[in-house]
Amino acid sequence: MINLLKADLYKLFKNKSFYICLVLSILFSYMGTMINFAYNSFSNAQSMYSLLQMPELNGIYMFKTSFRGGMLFYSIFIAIFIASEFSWQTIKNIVSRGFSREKIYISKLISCSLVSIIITFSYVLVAVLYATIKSGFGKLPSHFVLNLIRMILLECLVVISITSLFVMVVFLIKGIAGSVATNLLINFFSGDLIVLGITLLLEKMFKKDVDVNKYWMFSYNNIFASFSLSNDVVFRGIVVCVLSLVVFTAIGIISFKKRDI
Amino acid sequence: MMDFALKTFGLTKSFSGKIVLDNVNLNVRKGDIYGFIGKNGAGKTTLIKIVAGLLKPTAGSLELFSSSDLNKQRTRIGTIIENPSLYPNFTAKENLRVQCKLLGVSDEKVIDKLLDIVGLSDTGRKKAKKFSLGMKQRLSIAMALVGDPEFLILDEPINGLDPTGIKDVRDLIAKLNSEYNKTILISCHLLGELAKIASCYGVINEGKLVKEITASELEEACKECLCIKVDNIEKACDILENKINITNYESINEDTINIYGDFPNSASINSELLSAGVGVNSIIKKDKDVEAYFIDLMEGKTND
Repeated sequence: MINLLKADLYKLFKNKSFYICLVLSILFSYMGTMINFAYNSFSNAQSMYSLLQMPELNGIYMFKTSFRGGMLFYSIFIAIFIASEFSWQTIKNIVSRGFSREKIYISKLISCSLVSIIITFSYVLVAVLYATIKSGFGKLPSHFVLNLIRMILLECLVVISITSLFVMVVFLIKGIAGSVATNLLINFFSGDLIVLGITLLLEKMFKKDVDVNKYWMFSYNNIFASFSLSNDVVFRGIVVCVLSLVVFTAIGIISFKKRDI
Repeated sequence: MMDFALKTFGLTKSFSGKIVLDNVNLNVRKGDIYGFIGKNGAGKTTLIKIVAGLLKPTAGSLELFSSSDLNKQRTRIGTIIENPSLYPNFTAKENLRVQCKLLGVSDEKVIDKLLDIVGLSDTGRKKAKKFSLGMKQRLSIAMALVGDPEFLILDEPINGLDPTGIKDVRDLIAKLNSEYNKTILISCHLLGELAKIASCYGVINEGKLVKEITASELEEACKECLCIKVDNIEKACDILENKINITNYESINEDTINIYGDFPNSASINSELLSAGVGVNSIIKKDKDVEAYFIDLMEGKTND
């Protein structure tokens, strides 16, 4: 397992796609924050005479709102990184040397999770730095360091469970183009609009309020990005993310084990 | 007791009900270069993929190094299956480094040594995607050699190579067997090339293993002979030995005798047999080359 990880990490950090996705993620974060600031100052100027006020953009605000920014880039990288093993048929070099398919899968999941975390936190860091330079970090909440560590750990869990979905998709599809396209679709369908759509649909079907966000893995990117979380929310979020991680990984491993190479 | 690198027991594989491998019992002895011969679609790659763990058999089983703990034993084999499987954006050294990390080989000198063995020491920073097919095949062999496996399984390693490339790879395989004591299973279409290095052969046709034969048995089967079909084989043998003084002969079945070596002309043998009252149904001079022998086997013809 250690050898598998060593080989995967070597390939990962020698892979140009990783650096391209990382740089693009950083650029998008920088440009996105810049546009946010421009839009904010424009909207504030427009609404000077009204009661509407845009949120105060600062480091802490960007920190709480940027955790989903890198998803597009790591989903693309995961598709390229894993599917190319199948396209170049190098997966045969690994399987034929007696490594169990479970271990091969887990090794890919761990290395891709690492990439997802790097990309996510790079995105967040750039946004926070830009905002802090422009208008300061903002007022620190109480128990800042402890809450920050908790938030980072919870966000890592969310990113890993989202990564497990992308990894599963690639192991099911195997082709680079198909995997990239499907992961992009997941990016699109994971958004708030879809959650709203599902919520409305469920409400119509069951004639009562259903909060889909509670059970939607992707929502916890935003829900966990708070310095004041109740234990209930944390517990529910952890259960949703761990369950998603286990289910997606199990499906991926079963499929990989059953299929011929 | 004979040591085997690979033994299969009734190995069968079907895809969507179509049987592509049918009850195959293959035996590769340690130290052999085993030529695995068959037409396209005969089932060679399917069998190799099953041995490598890429496919699961529908029925039957196999042993590697007399053990059925296959994943453990697979650490002792190196494979090339179908095309060279390389990381195209990596150099030869980087490709080998991936394999070294995978197999826990920490000595970097191994990489230089392997590149030297396969003749790719001077490729520098050239990416694998820019390699010629011959270079890719040789790099694949080097990848398969990482971890010093005892058994190499090479599926069509000389496919698409020019004559120089074929000779290079053939010489390399012979060297790996003689100098590094590797057991090698090699599947190949070029029968003449295979005949130059293999010590044992398995012929597969439409998923069935038609024959396993050693190089000496093949030589025997292919040497020039006079094939005589008679109605009384015992009497015919007596006349050959005592009247014509022929001792280098073999009774193939109940009516056929093969005479090897320097034999007199067929007319004199015919007249001697006829005068002794032995009916001669046919006398044919057989001079079969290795390719013709294998082609007959692959086409389902018997080889007496």
